[in-house]
Amino acid sequence: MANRQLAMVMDLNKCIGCHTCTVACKTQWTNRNGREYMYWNNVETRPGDGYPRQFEKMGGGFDEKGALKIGREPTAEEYGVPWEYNHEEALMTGTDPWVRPNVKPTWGANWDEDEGDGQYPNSYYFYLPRICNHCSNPACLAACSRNAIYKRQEDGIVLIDQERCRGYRYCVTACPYKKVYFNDKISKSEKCIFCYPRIEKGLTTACSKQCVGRIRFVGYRDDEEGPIHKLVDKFKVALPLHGEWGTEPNVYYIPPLAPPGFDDKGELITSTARIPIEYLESLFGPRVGEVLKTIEVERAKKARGEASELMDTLIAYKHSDMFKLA
Amino acid sequence: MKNFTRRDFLKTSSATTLALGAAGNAWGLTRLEPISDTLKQEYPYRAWEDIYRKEYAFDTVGFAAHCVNCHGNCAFEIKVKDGIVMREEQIAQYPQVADNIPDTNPRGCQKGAIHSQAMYDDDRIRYPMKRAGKRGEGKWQRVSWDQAADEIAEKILDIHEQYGPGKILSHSGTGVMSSMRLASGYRFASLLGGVLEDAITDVGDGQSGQTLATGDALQNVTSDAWFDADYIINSFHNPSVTRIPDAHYMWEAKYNGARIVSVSPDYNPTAIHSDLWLNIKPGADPFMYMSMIQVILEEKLWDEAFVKEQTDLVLLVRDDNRKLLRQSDLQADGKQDIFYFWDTKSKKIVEASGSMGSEDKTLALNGKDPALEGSYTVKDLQGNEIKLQPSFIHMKTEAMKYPPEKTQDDTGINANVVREEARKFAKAKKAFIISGFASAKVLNGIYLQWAQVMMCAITGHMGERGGYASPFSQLGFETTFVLAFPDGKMPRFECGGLGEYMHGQKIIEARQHFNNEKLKARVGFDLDEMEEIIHHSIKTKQMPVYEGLVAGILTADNKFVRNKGPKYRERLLEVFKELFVCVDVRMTSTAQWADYVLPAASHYEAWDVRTSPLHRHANLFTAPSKPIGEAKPDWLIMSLITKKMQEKAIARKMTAFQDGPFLRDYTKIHDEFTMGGMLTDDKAVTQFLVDNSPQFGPGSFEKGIKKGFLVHQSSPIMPAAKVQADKPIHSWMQQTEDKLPYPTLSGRLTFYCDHELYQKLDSSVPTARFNAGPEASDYPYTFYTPHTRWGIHTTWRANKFMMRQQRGEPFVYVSPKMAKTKGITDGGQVRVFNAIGEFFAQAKITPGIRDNQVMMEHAWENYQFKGNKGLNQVVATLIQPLETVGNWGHLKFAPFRWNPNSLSNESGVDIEALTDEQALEQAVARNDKPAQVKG
Repeated sequence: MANRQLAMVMDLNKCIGCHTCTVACKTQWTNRNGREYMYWNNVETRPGDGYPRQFEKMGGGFDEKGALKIGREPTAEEYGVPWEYNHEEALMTGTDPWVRPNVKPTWGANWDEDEGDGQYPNSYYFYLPRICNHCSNPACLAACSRNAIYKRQEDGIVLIDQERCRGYRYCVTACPYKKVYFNDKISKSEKCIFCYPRIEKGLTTACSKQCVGRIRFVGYRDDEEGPIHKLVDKFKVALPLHGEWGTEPNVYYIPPLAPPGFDDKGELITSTARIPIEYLESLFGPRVGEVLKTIEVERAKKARGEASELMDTLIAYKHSDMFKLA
Repeated sequence: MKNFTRRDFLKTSSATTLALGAAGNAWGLTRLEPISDTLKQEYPYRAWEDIYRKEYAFDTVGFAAHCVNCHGNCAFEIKVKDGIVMREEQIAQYPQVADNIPDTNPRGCQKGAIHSQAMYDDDRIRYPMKRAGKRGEGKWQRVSWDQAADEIAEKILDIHEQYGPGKILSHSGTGVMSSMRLASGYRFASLLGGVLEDAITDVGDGQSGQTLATGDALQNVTSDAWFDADYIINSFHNPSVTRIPDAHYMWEAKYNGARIVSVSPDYNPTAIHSDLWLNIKPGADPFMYMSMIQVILEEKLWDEAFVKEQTDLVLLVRDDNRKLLRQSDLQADGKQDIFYFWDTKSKKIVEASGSMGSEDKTLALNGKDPALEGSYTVKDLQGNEIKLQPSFIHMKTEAMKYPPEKTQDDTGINANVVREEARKFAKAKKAFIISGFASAKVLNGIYLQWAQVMMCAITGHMGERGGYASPFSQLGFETTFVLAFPDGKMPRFECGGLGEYMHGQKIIEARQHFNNEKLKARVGFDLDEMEEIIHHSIKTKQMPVYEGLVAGILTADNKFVRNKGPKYRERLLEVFKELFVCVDVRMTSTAQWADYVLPAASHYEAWDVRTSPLHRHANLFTAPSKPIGEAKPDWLIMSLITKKMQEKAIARKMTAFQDGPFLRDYTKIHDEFTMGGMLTDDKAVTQFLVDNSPQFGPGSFEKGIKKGFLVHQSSPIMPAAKVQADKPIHSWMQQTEDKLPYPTLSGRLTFYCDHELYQKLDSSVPTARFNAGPEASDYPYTFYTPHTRWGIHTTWRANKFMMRQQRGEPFVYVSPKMAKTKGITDGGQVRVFNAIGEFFAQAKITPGIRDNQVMMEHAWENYQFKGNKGLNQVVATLIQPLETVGNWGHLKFAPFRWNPNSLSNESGVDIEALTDEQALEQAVARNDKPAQVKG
């Protein structure tokens, strides 16, 4: 049977950091049963340490020759300990003086929200939502010595066989995106499953359906009528995150524009972008500048009253058109 | 190859199985079958996939939105399994208004999406409770509904007999914006005759500058109207954070070619996607807009035809006393609300039609050409000559004082940048200034909004061409008001911001905090003058504030979080000396101090309907799950109380009494509340609301509950919008298209106010003023508290899922330089303080704010802070004198429209670093709650 690949494109020009996607996934899958610390979907402020903390330094992925690289497993603190609260004692029984977390907060999944980098008034940040990339060359799959991780041929969704997994966690160390998590209640590794029980019913993933910023497109990569092909292959404005890690991710990003900075007189700086291009290139590769230019050119067309298929696609007049599963 | 089972594999596989393995178990041997390439080959053991499939299961689906104060009003599907709500998901089925306007799906946000978890949390009130110790001690006794309602009703009647009517604050707060719930509290207050504050101005949302200019702040646009704009300014408006369901229209408008400008002191989440961020200095906003107006006037970029037809800038003003020329100046028995302009065609003074006193209710000029310049004379009724000039000249004289070069130091925005944006705004076909509610929480908010509306008006940006937009309207509220005011009976409406100011004696903290000389220099008046103006307004009944309150019955109102100063709660508890009842879904910082706490049904637990200003849908709530514990829908709670009141009133042989304009009769209060037994429960009420709506009609309820929503196709209560089925909703269409007058004194957009107080404060025309801020105090840093994305005020604020995406506890933002200077570390503790109070919080360092700002997201519950000291402990506040005027045409007390705001962002603070131990020690020592301290 034909191999097909579901893919997702996220437009970072529209992500507002609201975390509706995070909560959608949390209530759909990870609010229970040992998954509480996991965010199969998370949203990071970039520049920032990400979730888990500084995961980009934890290794994994493949080298240029295609060999699996050594990585490490994050600690509980690096994921952020999910704080519990004493509402009952503080509010109902009067035995605690105020509501507080059960441990001192030192790090969390969104600890550096809205900070970014740079100096006032020229600081910069944007939001980067992340899910499992359901890679075409998954490091987790390659690392699993039990061959318990596989890729569904009909849609490319990468899954960990929950009966076969024995909790070795080579997958956790191997994934350079740190999107495989260990569930210590059941001693198995778990991760984003691209909501396949929904996909099988013709519904898109919870994170994409519920994304109120309307930033996510979902479809089959080979569907020339679909949004993925348009954005990745036709207009070529959707770029992989850390493509250099060699896993061939199937989640793509449209890099973000930003307003101009100010010189010391308060005049607008027009020669360089507020977000240093080098930073965006370090995430999305060398084509960032070209993509940002394309967006600006197409947007200017609209401002002049001319047509732009790219802008119309990204505007997404009908929410339901963003997801093409048939 | 879906659902490929092991059995199928065994049938088709040609692989041999070896009789190995300890148990000789055929299943076990099959599992050990080696698989080599799980990437390229079909994986044979996929039956396990049922594990996740089984998790994706629910029994029933219902519909609900959330009744909180967010103007989102988003339709969700609620999925229930075994009677427990598993999760919710946006319906995302709203129909597209037009092919070239994006649909408004999937309206919702992370807070609505977490409610399924929050509704079962430990802060839910599960049964009626009566205080068992001192107020606030946290000791509760569970009581039955019957006992609670009985005792409360008894007390209400005792209060009535001892003190007379109107001594109970029967307030319905902004925690209930859906119709069944809002109507419950309002109907009760209306039948009781209790005092009900303006819930809009008591949170400081009142758009006073907009009302001053247009006559009605409740006329606005739906968010899809933003989409085809060419130019949008976001002023105190952070849609990426606080208009989450609508924000996509902003960024889609940008893709559609609009220029998006964001004005804020901090580099906020809306600024990051804008075409331009203007990092205004806090409190200086009006100066920038006055500069833009100056540029527009100087470079003649204004729309003369629009100004002449739609604004009062044509009206003639007397040179001698700077008052508008009135008919009463010219004729005996002349009206005070008829005004004049000079017609250049007929070369004479002509009555301006459309004013409140005019019989000709139109703005149409019909060939006349009002002058905007020149000097004219007329003889008054004594025969004296009066010299006159169009008010345009006074407006322009004032505006010309603010060229961008003169304001750039105050605003922090370069003059060339201001000039360029003014030009772009003026030349845009469709332009908006979208104002958030925070614009009303600063002392100079009225000046800001007034200048902003004028900037739109002089460039012709109104109606379909855009204009000033703040998210308030009454779209779809017709039947809510029918229920809220039974047979026209009303509660004692009281000023919100001013009422709370007076009852809480906030002048005390103002005197402790503000330096009177500095205040006068900064804002143009001092505390003595402010107090005098307030007292005059109340004494002359321009602004109603009721004396002698002895009790409080609050629904969904977190008074003790919202109100400013460390002593507010103490003073209000004294006011509520006889009785204090809180009706709420969760234990709030206010309910902690009540005598009785009554549990209300939460969003998914009751029938309701909700409309919203920002989109054209009425969402149905179909009560997909039963109320937790013994919680009841609001309607049933108030119904029960009125039932007990009626029984007891009859037993006490009470009689009907004339209460001001209304006849009240507590022996019939329950019959009236239930409309003669017809409105028995929340479902009946919801059906009544929908089927009796003039635009929905009978049968609509049944239709609506199938899909979860209904679509507004007209606007009976908001005719100015001229709602059409295939276009976004714009404001003031009757005025811009049909030339109907605005609901103002002159019938025109108002930029000249000759009230003596406005004249005294040199504010007859739009001008610039600062807010108070640290410059009016002896404390160095600005303290402002923008609306968080992690709560709708205190709703969901303390929820653990929301907290886990932040810092786990309340935190303040400081700049790297301030942190270095003060020895503050990221994640370390700080104490924020000034003369009136203190609070403790974690520090978060950000490069997005200035070095003299302490910023904190708002609405943490007091009980989330160490020592129970919330952020308002350090907030001293003022009243804007201009908002106390109640006797000038449309400037008269009107709930939701015109009365003074509660101001949040006027204080100066200082800050110091503490160790964890120090913070805990000091918080315990100075704990603001008499609870047992467990260390």
